[in-house]
Amino acid sequence: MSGGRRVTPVPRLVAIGVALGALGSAATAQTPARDSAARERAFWQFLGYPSLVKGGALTPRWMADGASFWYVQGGPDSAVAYRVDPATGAITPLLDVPRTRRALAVALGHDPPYRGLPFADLTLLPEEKAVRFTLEGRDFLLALSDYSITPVPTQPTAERNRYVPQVVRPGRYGGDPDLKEVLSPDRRWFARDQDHNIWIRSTVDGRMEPLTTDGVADWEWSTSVNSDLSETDATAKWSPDGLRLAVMKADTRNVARVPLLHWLKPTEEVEWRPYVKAGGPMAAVDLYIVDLLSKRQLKVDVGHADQYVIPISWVPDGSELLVYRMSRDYKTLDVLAADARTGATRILVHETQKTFIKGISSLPAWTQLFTPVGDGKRFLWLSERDGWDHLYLYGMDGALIRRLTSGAFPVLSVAGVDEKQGWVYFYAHAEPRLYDTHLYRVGLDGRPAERLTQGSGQHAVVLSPSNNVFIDTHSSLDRPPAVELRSAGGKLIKVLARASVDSLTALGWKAPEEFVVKAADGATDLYGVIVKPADFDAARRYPVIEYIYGGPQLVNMPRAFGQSAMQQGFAQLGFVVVTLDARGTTERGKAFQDVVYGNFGRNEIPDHAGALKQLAAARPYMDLGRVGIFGGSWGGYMTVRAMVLAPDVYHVGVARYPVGDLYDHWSLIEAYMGMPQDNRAGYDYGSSLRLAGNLKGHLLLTHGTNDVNATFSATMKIVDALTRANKPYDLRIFPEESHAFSAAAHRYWLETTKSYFIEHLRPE
Amino acid sequence: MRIGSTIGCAALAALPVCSRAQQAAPNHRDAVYRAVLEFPSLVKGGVVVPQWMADSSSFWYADSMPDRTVIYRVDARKNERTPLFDTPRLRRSLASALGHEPPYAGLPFSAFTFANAERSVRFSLEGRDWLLDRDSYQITPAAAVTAAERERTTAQLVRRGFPTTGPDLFEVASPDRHWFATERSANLWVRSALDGRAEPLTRDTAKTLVWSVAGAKWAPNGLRIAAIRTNLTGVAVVPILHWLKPTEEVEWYPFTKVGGPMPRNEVYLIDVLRKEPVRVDLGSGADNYVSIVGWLPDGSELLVLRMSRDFKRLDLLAANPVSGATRLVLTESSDTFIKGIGANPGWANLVTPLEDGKRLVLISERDGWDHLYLYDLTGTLIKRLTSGTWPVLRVIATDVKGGWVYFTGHAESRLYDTHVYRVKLDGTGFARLTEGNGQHHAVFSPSKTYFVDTYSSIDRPPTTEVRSVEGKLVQTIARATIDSLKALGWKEPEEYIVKAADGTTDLYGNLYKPFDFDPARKYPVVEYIYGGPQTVNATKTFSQAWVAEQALAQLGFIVVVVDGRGTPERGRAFQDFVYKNFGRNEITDHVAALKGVAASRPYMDMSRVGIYGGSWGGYMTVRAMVTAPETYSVGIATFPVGDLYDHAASAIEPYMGLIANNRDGYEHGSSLRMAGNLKGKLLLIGGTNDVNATFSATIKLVDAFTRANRPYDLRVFAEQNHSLAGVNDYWRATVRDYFVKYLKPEAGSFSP
Repeated sequence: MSGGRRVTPVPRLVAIGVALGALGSAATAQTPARDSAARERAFWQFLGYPSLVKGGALTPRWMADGASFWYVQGGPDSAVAYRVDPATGAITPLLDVPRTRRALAVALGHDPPYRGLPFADLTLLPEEKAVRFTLEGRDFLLALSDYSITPVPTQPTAERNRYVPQVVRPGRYGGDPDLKEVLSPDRRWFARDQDHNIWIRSTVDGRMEPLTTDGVADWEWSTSVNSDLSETDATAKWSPDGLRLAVMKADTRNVARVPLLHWLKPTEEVEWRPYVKAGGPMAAVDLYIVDLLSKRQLKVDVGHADQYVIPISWVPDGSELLVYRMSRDYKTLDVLAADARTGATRILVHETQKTFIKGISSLPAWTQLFTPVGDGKRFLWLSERDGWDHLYLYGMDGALIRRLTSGAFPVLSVAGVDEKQGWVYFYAHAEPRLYDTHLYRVGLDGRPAERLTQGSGQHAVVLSPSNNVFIDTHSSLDRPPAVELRSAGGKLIKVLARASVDSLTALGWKAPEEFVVKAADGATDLYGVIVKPADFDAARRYPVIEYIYGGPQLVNMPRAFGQSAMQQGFAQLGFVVVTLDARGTTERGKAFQDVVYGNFGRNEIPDHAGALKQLAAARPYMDLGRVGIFGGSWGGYMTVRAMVLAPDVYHVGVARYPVGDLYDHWSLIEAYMGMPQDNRAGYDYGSSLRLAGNLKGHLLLTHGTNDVNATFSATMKIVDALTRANKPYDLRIFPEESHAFSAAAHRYWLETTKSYFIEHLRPE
Repeated sequence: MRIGSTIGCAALAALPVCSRAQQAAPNHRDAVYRAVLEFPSLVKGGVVVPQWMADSSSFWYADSMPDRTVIYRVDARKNERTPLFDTPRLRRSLASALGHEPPYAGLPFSAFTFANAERSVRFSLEGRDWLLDRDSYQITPAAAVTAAERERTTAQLVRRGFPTTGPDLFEVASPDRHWFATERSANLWVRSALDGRAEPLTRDTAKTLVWSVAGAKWAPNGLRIAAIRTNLTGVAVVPILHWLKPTEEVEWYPFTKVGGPMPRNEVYLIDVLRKEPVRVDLGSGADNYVSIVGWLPDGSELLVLRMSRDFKRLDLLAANPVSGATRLVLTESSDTFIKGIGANPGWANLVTPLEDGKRLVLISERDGWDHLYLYDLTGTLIKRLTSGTWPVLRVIATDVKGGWVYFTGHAESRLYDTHVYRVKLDGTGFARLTEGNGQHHAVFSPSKTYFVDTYSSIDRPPTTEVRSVEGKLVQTIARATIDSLKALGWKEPEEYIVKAADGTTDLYGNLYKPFDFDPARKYPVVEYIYGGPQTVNATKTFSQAWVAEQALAQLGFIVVVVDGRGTPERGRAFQDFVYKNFGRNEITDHVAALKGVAASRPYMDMSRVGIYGGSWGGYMTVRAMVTAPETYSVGIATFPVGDLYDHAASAIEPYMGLIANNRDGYEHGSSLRMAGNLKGKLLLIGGTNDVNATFSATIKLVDAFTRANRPYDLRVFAEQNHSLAGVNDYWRATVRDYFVKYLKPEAGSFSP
């Protein structure tokens, strides 16, 4: 799916890099059941099951006709490059591997390494007569006609690096992308942050010069500015002619700072990070168009209110810059067109909601609602104005041309626009299986929408440059990934790849069970999955673990084949693991989502606790006398919440980098809760600190000291509240860890969590 | 003896668990545990605080039972103890003055001041001040002392002992009580007791220059004050995190870590009229600790102690009060260290000037034991006063006229017993003045003719006696009663002697059992450790310190305490065992002691051994868990130190030497690199405001255990310092629950 603003304030836990076979489980002191060693082995194996899925994915490299493509299959030891004929789906080797290796042996003077193609990457030169690759530090050209290999002068590293965007600084918050230089469309300049200003670096000679000079600490220019100080992909936009840069300057002097404690240094150090807390001062952001040659700064008139401003793109002729402007309360979103000569703006779209527009959701994010149609005269607008996200076609004068989609389902995002043939390709949840994602297309001229992909589950496509064919990679919870080549109209041309899951089968891996239950209102259907141990025996009783997220901006339950690693891992310890998405979450229309509005922390746990009871009613093997819950970030908040709001349902909780108190959190909560000043009762209710006295079960808090997403202070506040309430708790602190745990910290966390659940839930 | 059957609920009537379910045997251990936590309130009387009267040999004290207070006067010369007031008469008189019956049955007050040459007594009652004529018993309202007036004429609190656990700091009154020296904005001020007017004595503005009244000494004529200015330039600061604020705040606290830049402690003499601080010449001032001993009686010189950073050289200097020029009086030196941060005696207490202004008594360990030496003020030794293989502890009084020095020491066969002794200034007449095992604490009469001695041992409750300075018992005036304690089934703790790891050195310790101890059963063992080189940890008095080992024992544990080699009060050789080797030998000694004790006590289950302690005790707990994991299986380290580099220079460098001279020792002393040895259950407890054992130590331990893939447990107390004073109940419950959970004292004893 297309890029855009990355808002990941509260990512889910990801089972990262769990090496199979490395079973160093020294951190477990408890002795559970008789076959505990086998269970622990299975725990790590199943946490890593996605890596046991072989194949079922490919990366197409399009050829000059815009429809043919080639791809490399296999690891270094057996790599083969294939090309695909889009008309027939016929697959032929792009290179004859033995012949290539023979030629290479001559060119190198010795046998090339490995047994397949010995290089991981190659470039098919224009006209497809030769390929270029790098091997043993040298560049070679291989003529496809006779397999002759010629060394080509190797580009000096410095010269090559001049064309590679450099990392300006690492992502500010854990898990955020590194900030990189932004390349101009003519490939002549990179724009970059330096010394609080914007500098440009020439790709021709590497020379650098300042584009701005008036930036200072706390009032600085950046190619990646946001009013909430979240990390994003570049917000700076080069004009099509590469002579102007739309870029922002943020005044953060009034923004609160939170400390990062570097306790491990010989003498402790404190680093301060700006952090916009709920209701607190935001960064004041101004948008400028800066002329590359005169260095003149033209201010774009976006107003001065508390708001989020993000440039979208330039119109193709460079006459206007398009800009999103979202009000701080997320109730009003404008698309502005700024005159590139005067900075004056006009409103193209004015979108409003009584509750909030998208919040910090990522599917779609509010920064992905606008899609230009190639000619620069029209654009697509994704709007939830009738209660469901749908596509609307507008002219650049701001007039609605026509509505393109409708129905009681949400469009998720635009996958591509084929202006020539008049199609918009998009993803949506438009099937009876609510959360299935398919590719559809609809005519720009009003031709009705049609579904293009087959098979339940999740589809992700790559459209060919010619828009004639697309490659669909799909899977479901119980079907391993497969790759299909289909015509633009959806006709299956060829199944290109199917994943092999032999190792999974050997382990006894079983697919999750999907379920539907009622929400606490007794009427709304909620969807989720249950994961059971591989050696599940319905005659036995299993303690239950719920893996929760509960934040209002994403769907937590696994939906594709490789997404249930955490659930599968914990299930193997002898638990039944449940994951579901309650009211207030995304991808099910405005009414479902709006349950959270003003009420974050109020309805989630009743929905989740109710779901567990319904599930257990029909599943006698679920022992509701032993229920655990865990989650990270908002999932940590919800874990704490479950332990204090439903202490008779949840007995053991492990909260990873939790939030304890909504006041203490990032301003991103404002979309759902409004400003604290306007919703005192809601914020008070949402605080778990005052509910600490309700705790009955075992609660383990885990947090990294460098966390500036869910700040470390949240855990200290929870600890303090529990101490004051005279409640025992458990705690693990991860020094120097952020909101994205390192692999080592994550592994320790898994060990700890595993031991905690085994100790207190006592699986058979 | 079974608790439920013999003591029943009469003794536990106040405990909810008992009134709720009299037969609930499982909770009885917990009930006794809770009852013993109230130990101080179960020991009644026995301690007397004498208030000396004008004749210098009589004193009064209040025997304050809540409902029947009596104030006694003791006249030591006549061996008389009589009520100071005729209570019925006083109450009658009060009734008419008040217009109603005074409250209670005895005296309605327990404190008063004399007025009119002790002919009248002034006291407060019902918010008013009264004057009682002791002859006529007439009571008249006294002119009220306003709060402002009282405040003006008494030393006010300057600052709490926060964030370290030092004592609260009060203003320092001038000898004539006309002035109080105080601090404002890091400068020295004087406040007039007459009109409350305050004015600055110093006017430094640099943030790194900090004046303090701590240790300040007024000249005898009240016209000069000697005080210390700390120059913090270059000194590292450590952060105190206020996580609970709406937006987090950081406070910085100066902290000299091992090897780090020290503050310069400069002594100044300030004329309160001219207000020009004159610097006492102590050399460059770098890498020294200083302490103001005091003024000579005629104010002609100020005595100052200067300790080198490595604690190997201590200089006594005499300063000219006008010029600040100094002369060296004497120098003490040691190949290892002189006293370190030990408190009994501390290095600042080694010099006692005599009242004649011509001589001083020095405590020196030069022959291996702390003994008294008489010097003149030129630094010439006049006479050695004491000798023997025992240590003098502190000089508690001097009497030039009579020619005596009174002091405490450990000179008996029971090594740690503290008695009061005296010796003549010519070195003759050494004699013990007190009787009875244990710890004696003496308060001398102003006339130096009598003293009041309060003493106790771990098995005998406090008694207070009046003795003449020759040691003759005049009268026993108070004996504690422990009926409530006995009603709980209380048994004396056991003192034991055991061999150190060398197989020859005797170590001394205490052992606590459950009151229902049954030698046929097996009990898990808990060791309470401190292990720091400056303190004796095993309690030698009847009342418990904050640890309450006795209470813990009631949960079904055998609790042991022992002092290993390297600790103080047993002479140089014993103490020097720690030198350059902090963290190397302590646990070995403690393990040997534990095994030695258990060898003859089969009821101690050595497969279930826990250990806990705070501060150095936290360090030693971690140390025990990582260097003797086969002995200790459960540890609770409260505000621990993890790494010697991370700790305060003043607390480490005397024992370890400077880092450059002992890199191996420091490396070995760090537990961080040994984290992988952990086998048992370890609970770490830290307070985020701790700048004694800094909170970073806990985080570093957490990090080390995480990297070593070892599980640990953790409790963090936000906004708590090195005392955890605000969360003591929570802390206690945590310790109790952790040991009960993992050491599993016998079934039926306790249910968490």
